[in-house]
Amino acid sequence: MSDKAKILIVDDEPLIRDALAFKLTKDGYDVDTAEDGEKAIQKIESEEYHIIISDIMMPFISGFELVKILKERGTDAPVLMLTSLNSETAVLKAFDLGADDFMTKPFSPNELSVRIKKLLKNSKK
Amino acid sequence: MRQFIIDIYYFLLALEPRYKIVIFMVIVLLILAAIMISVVLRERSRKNSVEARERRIKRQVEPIIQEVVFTDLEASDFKDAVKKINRIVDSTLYRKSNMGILNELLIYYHRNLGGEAFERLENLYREIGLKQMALEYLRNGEWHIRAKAINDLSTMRMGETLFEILQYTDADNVHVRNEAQYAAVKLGGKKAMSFLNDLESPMSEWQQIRLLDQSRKFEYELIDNIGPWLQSKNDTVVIFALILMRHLNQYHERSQLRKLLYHRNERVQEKAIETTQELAYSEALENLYEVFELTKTVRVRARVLRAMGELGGPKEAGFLREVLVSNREYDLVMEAAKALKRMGRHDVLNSYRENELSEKGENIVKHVLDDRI
Repeated sequence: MSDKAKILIVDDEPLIRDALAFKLTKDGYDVDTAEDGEKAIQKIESEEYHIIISDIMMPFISGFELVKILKERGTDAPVLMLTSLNSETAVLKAFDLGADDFMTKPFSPNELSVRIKKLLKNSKK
Repeated sequence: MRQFIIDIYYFLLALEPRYKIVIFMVIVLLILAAIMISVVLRERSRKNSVEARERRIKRQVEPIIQEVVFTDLEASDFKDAVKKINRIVDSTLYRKSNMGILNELLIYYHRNLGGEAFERLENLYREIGLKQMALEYLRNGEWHIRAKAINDLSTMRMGETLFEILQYTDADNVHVRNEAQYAAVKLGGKKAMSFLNDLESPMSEWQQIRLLDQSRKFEYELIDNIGPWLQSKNDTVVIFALILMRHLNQYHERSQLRKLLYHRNERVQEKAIETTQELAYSEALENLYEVFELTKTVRVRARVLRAMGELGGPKEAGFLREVLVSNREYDLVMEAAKALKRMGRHDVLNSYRENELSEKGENIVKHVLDDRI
């Protein structure tokens, strides 16, 4: 098994998904993608991820619902929400449901890298 | 075959005129249907080929853009990337359309990415030639192409195009004008707002909101130009300047604000009263009395009473009571009662209820003092 940290990107926008995958692969992570919450759950059931990066507004299962389901199932992987929703309500709801970090679009890819490192470091403790 | 056609010809010739007409109509309809089907099929195949081309370009260009945006490239590698992109979009027939696809792609990335990636995208936009293309569209395009070009240039923060964009801030076409004004404020900040000095075209309320939203970025800066805008012949510019005064806390030019309380345009007058109230400019209370006497418009007079309720003291409470007791205009009586409530003068309202024994007095005070309403 690879010793690289494994990241799952969940976003319905293919351009964002691909760009994030490119950036995080370049940073040395093992990256997998899912285009909606349903597919993300299927992947999480069959694979173990170290971090999940999820959009909020997605078809079928929203990012909020995804976090809720993951936390109910006891998934350990920290969840970082990456969304265009830029409101206090969204941030509070995300953290309330169990998200570990929150970033809004437009986002700085370098800042995302730093946050991922921090989340990984915290989750190892 | 020839004989068959001749037979049909004679058969048709022998028919009664009404049948001839029916058959003629059927033939015409069949021909029209065939033409329409061929047009639809051609359009569909054209659309399919455009989509296929778009997918191909995106597939080829995306990895290069990602490489540029997410990697710290050497200057020579950056130039190579630009060359590669140019080779992909280069085509005698479809260059414009291909550049359009590239443009949308870069703008999409730009809307979603920030930080260093943001600047790299802007650099790429310049080097690929998209900035130049937008400028050409701006100079020679139809109104909608010009408006889109201005929007693209401001989205991609092409500050060096500001001077050119400023030429369109008073354009005849409203969409070009609106985009140019918005882009000017976005790219040039408060200095670029000098276009308001000579603006002759009216500004819609929506446009004022858009510009205000951009202006909020320089909230604590002093806007030196606001004086001339308050004296503009264009009433919408005056209203916008008043909005800026209020939202950006521009306390200077208050003497000009006092003059605007007597403006010939009632909308300007109302906005000036509102600004006086919001800026807590209580020195203008004397002027508000005058305005109340001079104007005949109920809306403006009601606005004066509301401002008095916010700015006034015991003297204004007395005046409001006078309006409450003696004025016959229902809206003004109501506004005076509300203003007294805002001043916390429940005593005045209650004594009015006690003295004014009519149902009208009872209802007004009851309504105003009811916090649920």
